Amino acid sequence: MNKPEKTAPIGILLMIFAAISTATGQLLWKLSDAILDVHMLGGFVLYGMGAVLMTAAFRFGKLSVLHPLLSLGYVIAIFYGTLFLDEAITFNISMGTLLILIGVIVIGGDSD
Amino acid sequence: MTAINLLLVLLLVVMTWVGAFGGFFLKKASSFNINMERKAFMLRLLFGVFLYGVSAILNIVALKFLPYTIVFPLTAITYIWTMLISYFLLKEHIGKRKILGVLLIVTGAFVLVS
Repeated sequence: MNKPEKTAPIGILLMIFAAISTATGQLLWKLSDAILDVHMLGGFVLYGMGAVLMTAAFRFGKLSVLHPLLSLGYVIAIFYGTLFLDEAITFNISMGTLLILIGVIVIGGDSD
Repeated sequence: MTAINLLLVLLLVVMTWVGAFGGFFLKKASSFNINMERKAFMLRLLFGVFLYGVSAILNIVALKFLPYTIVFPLTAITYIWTMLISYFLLKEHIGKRKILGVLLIVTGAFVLVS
């Protein structure tokens, strides 16, 4: 059994990669329009990679610290939405993103 | 609230619940040595990935009815379940910082879609 007391930086880094992978997978699903095509299959590969990266990350810290870091994916999602889906960034979207980022930093900085 | 909206809310709740338990089993898998305890590791990994996959399929269904920028943030509810699972099943310490952080994330998600 492997039970680290503190969260290691590598765990946080792996979670950031997991967030990027998951968010990109979800973007591909949106682009696929729920039809089994290249986009959807690519989405599954990236989403699965997110799960693998997450499992690796969990070796280096607590679930309650690392799992919420996946919400960094929302920030990436907003970026993708503007870039690929012509979704507008409103004041509320900016404020919401900011709150999420602060939340991620508050949790990520908590090593216990 | 129409029946369809109620169904979409239920879909999002189940999706986040399944996603949180997916994370829990991946965490369980990560505590085993891959070479020494392969079976125990694989069982939890596969179950975690399965739950993660079910959550993903529910996500695709939700995306069929709602915009990407709404569905994705609402998955933030997952981390409320994660905190409960971490506390009750993994006996992890949940202090003020974690509660504040998750509240910020969930609030942010709701501000995002308001």
